[in-house]
Amino acid sequence: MKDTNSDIIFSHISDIHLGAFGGLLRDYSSNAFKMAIRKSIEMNVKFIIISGDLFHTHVPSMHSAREAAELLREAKEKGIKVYMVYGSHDYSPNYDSMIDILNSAGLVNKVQRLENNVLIPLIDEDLGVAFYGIDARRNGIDADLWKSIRLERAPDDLFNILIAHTAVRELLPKNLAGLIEAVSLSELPSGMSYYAIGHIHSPAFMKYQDSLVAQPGALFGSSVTDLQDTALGMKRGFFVYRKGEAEFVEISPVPIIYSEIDLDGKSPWQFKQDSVEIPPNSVLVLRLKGNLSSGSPSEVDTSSLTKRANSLNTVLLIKRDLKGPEVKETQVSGTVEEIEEEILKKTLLEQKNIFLKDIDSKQLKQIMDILSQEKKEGEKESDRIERIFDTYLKLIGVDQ
Amino acid sequence: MKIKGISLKNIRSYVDAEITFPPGAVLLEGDIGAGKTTLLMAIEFALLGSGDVDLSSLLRVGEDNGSVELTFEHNSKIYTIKRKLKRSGNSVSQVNRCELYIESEKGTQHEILSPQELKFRLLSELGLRENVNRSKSSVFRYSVYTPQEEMKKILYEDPKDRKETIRRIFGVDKYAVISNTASEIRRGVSKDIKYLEEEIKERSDLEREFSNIKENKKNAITDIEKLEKEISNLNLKEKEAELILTSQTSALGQLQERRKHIESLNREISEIQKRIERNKEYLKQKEDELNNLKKQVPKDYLSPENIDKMIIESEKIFMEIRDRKMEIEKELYNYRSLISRGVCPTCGRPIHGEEFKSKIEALEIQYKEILTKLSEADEKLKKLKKQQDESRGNEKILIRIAEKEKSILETKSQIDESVQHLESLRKVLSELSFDDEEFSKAEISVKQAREKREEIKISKEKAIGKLEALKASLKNLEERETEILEKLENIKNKEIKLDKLRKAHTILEFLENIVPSMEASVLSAINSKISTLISAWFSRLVPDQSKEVQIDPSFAPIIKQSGYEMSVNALSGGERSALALAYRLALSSVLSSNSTAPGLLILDEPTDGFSKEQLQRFGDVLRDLSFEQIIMVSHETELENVADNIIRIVKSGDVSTLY
Repeated sequence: MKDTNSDIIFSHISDIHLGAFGGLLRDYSSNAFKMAIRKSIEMNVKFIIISGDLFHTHVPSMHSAREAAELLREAKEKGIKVYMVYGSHDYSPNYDSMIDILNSAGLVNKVQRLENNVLIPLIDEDLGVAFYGIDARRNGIDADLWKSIRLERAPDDLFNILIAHTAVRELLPKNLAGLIEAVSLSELPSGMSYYAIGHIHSPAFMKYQDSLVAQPGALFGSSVTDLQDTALGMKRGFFVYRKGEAEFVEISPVPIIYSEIDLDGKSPWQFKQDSVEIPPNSVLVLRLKGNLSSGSPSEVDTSSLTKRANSLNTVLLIKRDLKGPEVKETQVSGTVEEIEEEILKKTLLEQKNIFLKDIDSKQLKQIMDILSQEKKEGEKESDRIERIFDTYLKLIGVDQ
Repeated sequence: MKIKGISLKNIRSYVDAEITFPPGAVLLEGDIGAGKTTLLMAIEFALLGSGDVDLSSLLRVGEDNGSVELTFEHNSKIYTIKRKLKRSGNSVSQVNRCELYIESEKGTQHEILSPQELKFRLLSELGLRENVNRSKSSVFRYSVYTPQEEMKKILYEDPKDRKETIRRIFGVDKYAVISNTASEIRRGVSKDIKYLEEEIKERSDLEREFSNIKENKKNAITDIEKLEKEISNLNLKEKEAELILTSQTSALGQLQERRKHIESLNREISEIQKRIERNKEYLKQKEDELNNLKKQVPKDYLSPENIDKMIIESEKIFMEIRDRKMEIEKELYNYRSLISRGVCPTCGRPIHGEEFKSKIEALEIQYKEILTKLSEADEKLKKLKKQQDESRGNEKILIRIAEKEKSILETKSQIDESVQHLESLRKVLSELSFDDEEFSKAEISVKQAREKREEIKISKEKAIGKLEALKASLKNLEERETEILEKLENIKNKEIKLDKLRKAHTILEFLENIVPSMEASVLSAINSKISTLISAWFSRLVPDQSKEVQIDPSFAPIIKQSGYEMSVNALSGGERSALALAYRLALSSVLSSNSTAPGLLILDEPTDGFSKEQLQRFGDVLRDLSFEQIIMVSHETELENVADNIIRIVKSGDVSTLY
């Protein structure tokens, strides 16, 4: 590994996805970024690398943009520069992403310099670092690009950092291996001191030849899957490089707890919401699982859980991994009149009562129309009932 | 429904404006505060009045009067509505007179209505089933026009209120009304059934009674016949007994008469004898008295009449004497006067007393004689009067004697009569014979005959009593029979009615049972349609395809990502706007498939928080919507490409103008 400057200390943050969530999760996501920046400042880093997806969209909400700008300015005022590339979410082909605005404002430094397939480094002589980076694109087009580009080498005495928002095969978690388009480390430009990888949300680190390859994963997460992974033990945080080593600094803006409830062999009504423990001021990932003895998964009532969670300032995420008994579901479709007609006809056929033998659906509809008559202006409810009573009996042929 | 145009006078920043709305997608464009939303508020006010619109903020500041006139087309009719505002003091209110014009092929109808009447009329015409008990128009807000600030309200609304509004929008609340009304009416029908069942319960009893009555009638008739026969026999017997009695009584009577007669005779004889004796005693007494009286009368008795005559004579004499005396006195006076005068009053010659002395002396002698005569006459008269008194006294005795003698005669006569009578009675008595034994026998016979008759009478009366009772009983039976027949007929009619009521009850019960499942099915179908549309539109509006949206059975939006349900709050601002918009569009689309629904969509800044990409996506969605008319307010110039027509609104000073 080439580390010609032992003063190099930087933090490597990735996949912050500001604006991915709303409400409390948005705040937690922002807090995670705040914690990362402030921790970085506290750890006296010289610069910060963001390897893509600072924002969840290329034009995030003003709230997310403002928060990001404030934190980046905080870093800037401490003399800490931020180097970054587009991620796959905050990418804009027209360069009208919020990243470009931050770049124009001098709060970040976009690294990509690609001309005629030649990747030109952005050199920061004060830092002694050469940054190489390629903005991410949608659908993995960048994977092909990596194979075709050439590098314009920076001077040897510089610390070379490659910032890439791409899936690297060697860093893929097992559950994604072979499922998504990824590049091998060997396909990436070689000779880097540090590979700052982003895009995949699970953290990973390895040493590759003389280099460090770090993938911090999502700082907080951008989806419920990320939150579930966190709840199940996946670490969240960022890397801090110092003296040839990369330390993973964990960030936890909020406790994220995972819980499972087994409803196997039970009916939806046997699920007691009160029995579920909801910790306050946290994120609770709750999985309901099992094969129900009766009813359907949607009949498992979780409404009071949600209310209780809200009152405890807790974000509740519920997954219904439930199956109900095989029920031949009658597809209900058609207009209201058609549905009524069908139900009336079908139910009448099943009736054995002689009184219902000589009545048809049309007559029943007529009766329903009578029964559904609303109050006339100035009419009391008792008068309406009396009026309908008389009309109905008259229709049936009862002489009052 | 298509808005054709609106005229505003003194409505917020519009002083006097007329706007024509073309069909299709109409974009109202302008800077913030230009007056875009005012047009939407004015449309809502025109249609629904003041329920959700703050009138004080609608009337232009500084003006006391304002008006909105809206023209729209719906179901081949052209409607023109006119509402007016007025300011009084610090408050703004609607003028109580609103106008409604309806043009159809039948002609133009013009009505003057109160604001409330106009609202309900239009709700009915447009098929919007608002809750009449609320001034706020939630159905309209859900399905036609939602102000910008309320767009996301649908996501956070109380599930109960949201479901209730959706039920109203789609008319599903009618099932609850049907069910409740059916339940109420069924209660009433049950009462009637119970009442009739009670009434016809007695049917079997009545039939039994009827059968008994028939039997009893038969028996009664038989008994009556028997009794009548018996009474007839008794009548005959009674007559016979009567005859016997009469004869016996007559015989007895005769005997009694005879006995009475004999007794009477004896009594009479006895009385007569007594009377004779009395009279004899009386006679003796009288005779004694007579003798005594006679002794009291003097022998030289003169009767008062005689004495009266003598008195009269004497009085006459006395009078003559007295008259003579008077004459003499007069003469004496005259002669004395002459003497004293000494002159003749006639001739006036002097008078010498000597001439008249002899006369006077003669007269005086006469006078003395007269006086003596007069005194004698007077004495005689007195004597006679005294004699008269005595005579009167004797007269009374004589009268009494006469009376006595008369009485004695009468008594004697009576005695004689009595004696004669007595003799005749004795003769009669001797001729009459009376046998006590015979009389006793006759009495017994009569008694027996009477008893017999009485016995027969009593029997007859009993029989008659029985007969009357039987007849009365028969009459009662017949009346009761008629009554029962009537009741049975009545019951028959009631059974028919009961049958119908049971049918009515069964139908109501059937509907009560079936309506919940019907409602559930309809709601499920609507839910399914809305869910499908929301899901489709959300995925079209939101780039993040990992998120999907459905609605749960309570129509609450469920956001799922990687199978996890998350709160709406977990969505970003733009995603929430997209969800709210998708929900609105889904509701309006499903509603517009209902032929009576408005078919108009009004969107007020629907793309709040949308990214550029989302705006483009929204444009695509808009093109695919099938509404008669979409009116959009937006400051996003990207939407210009989507709209069929653009109305630009510019505000200059405090007045909005249109281009």
